[in-house]
Parts: sequence; C-alpha cells; structure tokens
Amino acid sequence: MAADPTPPIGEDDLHALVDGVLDPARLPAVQRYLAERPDEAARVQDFTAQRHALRAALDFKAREPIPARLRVANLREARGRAARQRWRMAGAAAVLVVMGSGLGWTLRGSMEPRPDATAALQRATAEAPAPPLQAMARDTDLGLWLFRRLGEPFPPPDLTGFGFALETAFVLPGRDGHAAQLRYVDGAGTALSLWRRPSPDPVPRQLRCVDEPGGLLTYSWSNGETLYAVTAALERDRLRPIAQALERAMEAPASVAGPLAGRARRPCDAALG
Amino acid sequence: MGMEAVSERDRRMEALVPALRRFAWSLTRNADVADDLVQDCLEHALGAWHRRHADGDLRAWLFAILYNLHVSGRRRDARRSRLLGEATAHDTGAQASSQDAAVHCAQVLAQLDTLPEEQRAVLLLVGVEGLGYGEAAQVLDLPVGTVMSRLSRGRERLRRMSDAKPAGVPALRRVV
Repeated sequence: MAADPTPPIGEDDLHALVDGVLDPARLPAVQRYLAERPDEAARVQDFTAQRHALRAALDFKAREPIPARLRVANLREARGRAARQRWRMAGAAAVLVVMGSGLGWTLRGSMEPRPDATAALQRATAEAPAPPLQAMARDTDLGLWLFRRLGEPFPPPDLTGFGFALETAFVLPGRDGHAAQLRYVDGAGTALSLWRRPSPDPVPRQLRCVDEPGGLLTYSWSNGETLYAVTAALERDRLRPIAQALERAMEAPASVAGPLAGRARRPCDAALG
Repeated sequence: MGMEAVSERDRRMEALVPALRRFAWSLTRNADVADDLVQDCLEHALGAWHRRHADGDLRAWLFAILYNLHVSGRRRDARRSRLLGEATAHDTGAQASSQDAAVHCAQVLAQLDTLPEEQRAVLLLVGVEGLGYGEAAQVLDLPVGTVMSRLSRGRERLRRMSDAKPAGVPALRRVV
C-alpha cells in the first residue's frame, strides 16, 4: 500500500475543526475521516454544540457596559494620583500660585464669594479627595481631556474673539462631582478663569456680578445643574460681555464651536453692574 | 512615551476589557470579585508595561496576568470572605432573557464548574475567548501539547456529563 502523504488525523485536528482554526489544507482529509466514522462525527458535533452553549451562557458578560472603575484612563489617573499624593502639600501650594491670578470664586460651599479667596481655595484643596489635575492646551486636546475627566462634554469656549487664548485646564475631583477651571490669557498677560462645578442648588440663577479683593471681578450664574463663574482682573465693561457670551454659550453648547462674540448692550445690563 | 502612544495603548487595553471581565467572571462566578480581578489585572499591566515584550501578544499577556492573579488569589480570597453569601445565582439568572435560557445557562455553567480548574481555564480561553492554542499555552505557561490534552479531556468530560442526562446536550429539552 502506498504511503498516505497526509499525516494521520489526530485529536488536535478534531478540536481545531470545532474551534474553527483547522488548516484549510487539512479540511478535506478530516471531512473524509469523519464521513467514515459516525461516532467521531457525533463527538465533533457534540463538542461544537458544547462550545456554542458555553459561549451563549457567558456572552451576556462581554456585552455588559464596562464599569467606570475599569476604564483604563481612570486607572491610570488613580495610579498618578497615588504618586501625586506624595506631592500633595507642595501641590496645594503650587495650585495657589497657578490659580492665584484668576481666583475669586470658591469651589465649595455657597456661591457667595469669600472675602479671602486664598483661604477658601486652601480649604477646597484640602477637602478635595484628590489633588487637581492639570493639562495645557499646547500639549493636549482639552475638550477631550475634560470630557474624559468630567464624564460629560465641556468643550472649552473659544474666547479669541475677546482676545483671550485658552492656556490651561484644571479638574478638581469633588465629592459631589468634579469642578473644572479653564484658564485663559490675553496678549497683555491678563488671566481670565472660567469655573464650573455641579450646583448644590437646583434653582437656576441669573448672571450676577461681585467685586473681589485685589481688583478681581467675578460674574457667576447657574442653570440649576451647573454653576459657572468667570473671574478676571478686568473692568466691568470688558468682563461683562464675555460673561454674557459664556452664559449663552453654556446654554447652547452647539454654538461653542466658533469664537464667542459680544452682542449689543441690553437695557438691563446696567442693573447687572 | 508620547501622549499619542499612551492613548493608543489604553485604547487597545480597554478594547479587551469586556473579554477580560467575561473570563474573570467565568473563573470566579461573582460579579464584584471578577471586576476586582480585572481591575487588579489592568493596574498590574499599567505598572508592568515596560517589562512587556514590545511585539508580544497584548491579549495573551493580559489574560496571563489575570489568570495568574486568579490563581495566586490571595487578595481575591480576602475579598471573597467579605462578599461571601452574595452568591452568583442571580448573576446568571437575571441576565438571561427567558426562564428556559436562564436554566440552560445555569446548567452549562454548573457542568463547567465540575471540571478541574486547569481544564476549565483551557475551555474558556479557547472555546469562549477564542484564543489560539499557542496563545492559550502562553497564558497558562504550558506547552501547546498540554493545552491540547486538557482541552480534549475537558470537552470529553463535559460530553459524558451531558450524555448521562436523558436528552443530551441541548439542555432546553431537559428542563421541560
């Protein structure tokens, strides 16, 4: 009898057939083999049914939405946080320096500005479960960066129409949700900060203006879900149109795509301050 | 490593999370314990990334980490004692769309549970997760021949189990 050029059929061939990884060149030989041996064919059929049953029984697990704690970005952040913990004291101080020029609005507690903003921020930083995260516009797509960390879209408004360029974003993890700050700078080096954080009070509040110590001016408003505040060492006439444009833009996120612009002065603007 | 490479790497890892969760759940049969295991696995992977072979198979690498963590299991057991009693029946049952399907799933998984862990792991990796035999061997740190023989023994054993029942493998008929 002439030697069969095909190696004999093995158990591995049968499993490869079941798992769909059989070398196509071997398929005819395996099929011939099974056609002549009904018992083996029944085994292969049973193995195949078994494989399908197992997959079906476990399929639901792979189709579940993955929990936030298994997001790689979140895990990476947690790792970074552990490392940053060592720098916590230094970090709090650094944040004061970085945010200092744009700060007039407290992160926690009521929207009423505190007379001593630095103390308020110190308290907020100390109370926060983790130190602030920071990203620079020149390195990072801040829209995406904020989306990932806030869990909702917060496209940074384009304030180039007012002469301000986006420089840095901060996210401060909070127990009730994350606060974010966007820091803008104009050609003269004047800093402007846009803050947002979850509102503790569901009642929307119109734009209002408060003078802060150190020549800072803050406009703040709330839509009942999110509190916003914009702070800068600017004249009212210059900051007000920016605040109004931001308020409009935050209520209609689609309009944030392009540069914001001021609009004609409304009669009530004077009352606003 | 640049931001781009990091986010690409994160994306590739995250794409495997559903399969890792399924494998972990299959091994532990407890949703919380399984997700703890996946979290440990991902944290370990993030910390050990630089030790990974640049051209290695990411999937096999992650499954290997997860399986090793499962086997070493010290942390898992600590958690398990905490979670003891939050059994798994509702895990399976609640997900199935019908009573029949739920019973079928429960039976298939109950049979799988009777296999020795080493055979169960091979059946899950090859049959459910779709790893190649070489990949499964890499995950379990075994020669391919050993993987094949465990696969063969596991499948044969499940088959005999089903044969012992009146209506054969499709368990739907059995439960009527």
